[in-house]
Amino acid sequence: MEVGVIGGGKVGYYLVKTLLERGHKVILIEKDPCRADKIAEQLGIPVIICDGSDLSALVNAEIDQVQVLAIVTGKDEDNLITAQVAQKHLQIPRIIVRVNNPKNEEIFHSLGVEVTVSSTGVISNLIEVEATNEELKTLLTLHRGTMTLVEATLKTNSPVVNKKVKDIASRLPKGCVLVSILREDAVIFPRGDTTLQVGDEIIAVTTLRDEELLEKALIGTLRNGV
Amino acid sequence: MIIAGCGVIGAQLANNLSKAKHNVVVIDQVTSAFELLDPMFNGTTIWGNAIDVDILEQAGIREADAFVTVTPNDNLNLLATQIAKKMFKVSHVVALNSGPLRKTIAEDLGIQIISSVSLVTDCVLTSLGRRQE
Repeated sequence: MEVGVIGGGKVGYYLVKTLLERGHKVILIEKDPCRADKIAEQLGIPVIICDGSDLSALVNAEIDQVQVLAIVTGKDEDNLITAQVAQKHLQIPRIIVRVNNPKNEEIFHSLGVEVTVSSTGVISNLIEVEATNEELKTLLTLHRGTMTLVEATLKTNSPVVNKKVKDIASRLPKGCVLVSILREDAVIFPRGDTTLQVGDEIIAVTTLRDEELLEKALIGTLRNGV
Repeated sequence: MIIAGCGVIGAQLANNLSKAKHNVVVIDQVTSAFELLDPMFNGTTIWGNAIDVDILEQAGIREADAFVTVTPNDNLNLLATQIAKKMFKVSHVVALNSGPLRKTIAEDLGIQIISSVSLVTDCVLTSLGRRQE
């Protein structure tokens, strides 16, 4: 597959290297001539030296021929403007944009740049999962924050232990789905006849609104201890 | 009105607008930049990044009539004006851009940009044109 990468910093460099190892054809755009030369030498690929938001330079570099464009510079403003230029003028099927400041992710989405990746955001969420004392742990937010992927471990006092999924279905809030169960290192996909056991780690998708009700259904208590 | 960027242009703009009795807030990431302001400047200064929504709120962007970005970073200027116009519905927004490179995208986004390079070269060419007559 042909991939375009804009930004030859740490992220860009290792991304290009990984893509080449996987057999993809990569076009790299980097505006600093020294860094561009070093990367061209080390990875043996042509590196185009230009500003990512320069439309005519991008077209000359044939960036519009790629199937995926990854915009990964260290500056959010550069990434945003480049993404907008690419979206409006280049017919690239998929554009992935790095966001450095997690707060900017919402801004990017509201300005029409949908697919964003914030490594700071991912890491801070992972830290939150460890830090939380809540029974229902949030693993990931989906669909622009309206849904969450959650995990809960069933303890002996859980109201659903030793019950079949079909029997507890009515107790679960409407806005959630049980996705999988991890039981002693084996993954089980819950069906109506699946009996829930102590120690089961359940993964579910739920709307934000129904999160507390799901916690009550699986764990037995609401967050404030009621 | 809010001015992002207190360099030579931003400071001059802020000084003039303040003299004309406008309510001016200036944002810059470098505190020494505010030294360029007149001693008589009676607006507010805020240290921070103009694309940080918290800083913009602190600067009163919800009530602002105009938002101007004159930082040396062209992309930052374009992004900040988009935030002001699209997210906070500020009626007058202007972005400084050094060259005409981003003219197309600015037009696509409906953001007015002033290209300092184009302005200066036009002026110089006009002046040279007069000389030749």
